[in-house]
Amino acid sequence: MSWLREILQSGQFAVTAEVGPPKGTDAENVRKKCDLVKDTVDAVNITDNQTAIVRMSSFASCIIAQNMGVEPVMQMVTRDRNRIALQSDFLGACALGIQNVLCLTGDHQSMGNHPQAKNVYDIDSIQLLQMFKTMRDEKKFQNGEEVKGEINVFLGAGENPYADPMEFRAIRLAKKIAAGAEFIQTQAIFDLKIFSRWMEEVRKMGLHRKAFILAGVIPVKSAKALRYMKNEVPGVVIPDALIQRMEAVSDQKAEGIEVCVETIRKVRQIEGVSGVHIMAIAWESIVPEIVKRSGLFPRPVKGEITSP
Amino acid sequence: MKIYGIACDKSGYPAIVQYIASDHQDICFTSIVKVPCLGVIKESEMLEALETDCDILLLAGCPLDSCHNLQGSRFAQRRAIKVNRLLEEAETTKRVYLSFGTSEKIAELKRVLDLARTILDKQPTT
Amino acid sequence: MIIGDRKPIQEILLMIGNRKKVLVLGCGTCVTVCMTGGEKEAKELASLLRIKGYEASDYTVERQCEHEFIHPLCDRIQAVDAVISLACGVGVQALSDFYSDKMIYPGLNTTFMGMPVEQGIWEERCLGCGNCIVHLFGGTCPVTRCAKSLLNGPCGGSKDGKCEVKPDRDCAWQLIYDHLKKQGRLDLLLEIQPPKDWSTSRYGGHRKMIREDMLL
Repeated sequence: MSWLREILQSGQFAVTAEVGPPKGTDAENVRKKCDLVKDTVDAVNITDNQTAIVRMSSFASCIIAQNMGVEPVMQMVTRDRNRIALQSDFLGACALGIQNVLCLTGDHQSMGNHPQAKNVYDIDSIQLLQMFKTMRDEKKFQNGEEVKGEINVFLGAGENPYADPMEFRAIRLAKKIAAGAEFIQTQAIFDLKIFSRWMEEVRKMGLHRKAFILAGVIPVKSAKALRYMKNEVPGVVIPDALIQRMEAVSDQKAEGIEVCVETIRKVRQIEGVSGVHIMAIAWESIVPEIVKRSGLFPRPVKGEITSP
Repeated sequence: MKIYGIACDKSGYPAIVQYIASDHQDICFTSIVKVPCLGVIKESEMLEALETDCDILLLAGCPLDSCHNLQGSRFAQRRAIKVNRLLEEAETTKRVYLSFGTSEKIAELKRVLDLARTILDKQPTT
Repeated sequence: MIIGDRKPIQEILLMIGNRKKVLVLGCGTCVTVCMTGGEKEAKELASLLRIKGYEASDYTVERQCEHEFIHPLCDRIQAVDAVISLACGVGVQALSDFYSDKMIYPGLNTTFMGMPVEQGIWEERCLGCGNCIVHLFGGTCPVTRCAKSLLNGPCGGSKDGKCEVKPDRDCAWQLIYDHLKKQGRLDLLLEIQPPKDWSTSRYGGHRKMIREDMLL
């Protein structure tokens, strides 16, 4: 069974992190990043050509991670592959023991480094969830034919509490869960008011009991980085007060870590939040400090958990 | 410099007549066509004029804000800008020039023609 | 209607090279309405070519995509070295098939099926998927107007009603949500749309329609 599933089902607050594969063939790059976080997280997401920038495949990187004892969460986007390739890769992932798959639509290729490429988007993330769930639970391919062999995958999806139309966001989450999402990792949280309101809607619909919600956080190194995110990254809402807070100090890096730790402590208090997803891209080394200062260390070890 | 002129009978034409009369010998009008208003000239007609043996097409008319037919000069200006973009794209030196002044003020006419001559002189000879 | 964008003149000049006698053929239907390939534009291009030293003439027909309109062009086309068609890709190919010994050059880049949303601005509306389901989305097509063709949108990048991929364009899913709200049919968004059958679209292969009742 997926370790991430075990931890979440046992009622423990889960911790996951994110690792971006290299723009090259260096397996050691993946190992080094995983090594930095492996003792302080329960599972590691490996991104799939994130922001449409070509990197080593998530699939290959997950195997590298797995071989060094880290539990991977394989991210799969629908931008680059059709239902034939996606089902095929899913079978391959299952055959090689990958037990967590995060289903995403994927950023449009115009934002990446190969904007002239043709995209696929044969299906969207909700259809992808449904497709994998059917393969796992009904042993059927998307066309209805029988799937042979064991499939034991913990299915996840992303959600953005800050995107528009805001009044529809909780309903869309309900759709994702109905389609097969068992755990959710949210977009980075900076505005706690809006996130709390979203969680309220989520609880009203009982969704927190149907899927495990992990709150996303990003440790920021400077006020400038915050401003960049505010202006350039869609779907991220950053309160001006936070930027002012960062600008007011001299050691902005330290403040950024403090803000991240504070956010984790606050979301832990919100009913329905089952874990945290730390997206310290290009700053994986800071994850252990964040986990420890958030009071989430040591992490449970395999064999020590008894499910409720 | 060879000029194909199209002028409105209210302002442009009298201005050109006065300009020529005041002794400017180094310019040559290959044609001067009188029209009721510059607003009637289509882009294709501007281009047809430029097909003749001339360096520039000069459109002389009423000032933009006091065109006798209200919008005629403005229409001519828009169309001339469009034609000039096409001419630039086609990499030819021919252009449309606009002079909006009344018959009392031929200074504007002189300014425009001086500008045209300066620009043409700068072009590399092919 | 079909929208096209005129090709840069330098590109056209490169295409025709030193073929002196050129015919510029305008089309009187779609490209006239989007002001890139009609009689007006054909005249302008022919004039520019003559300024550049070509023996260029222009002519415009009702539509270049139908034999009855391109058949009578025989003499005009035979008399020239090159033809620049200002029609959409359909017209260019119709001419090429009919006058297969002649070089027919496209003077336009055919882009999309769309409409003028205001004077001077045209937007794509339909990409011809072959299975229209706009009624399930309040009348807005998510296949064409969502950058990711989501059938269970929106994605996480919809902000203030605009699309993250093309910020000057509306997010189709915001429009869908707003329309269904007005129509009191938000319940349609609770259903999970299954994967689309793309076999009726261009992805299923080059399409053909046969009307048995109209065959001679």
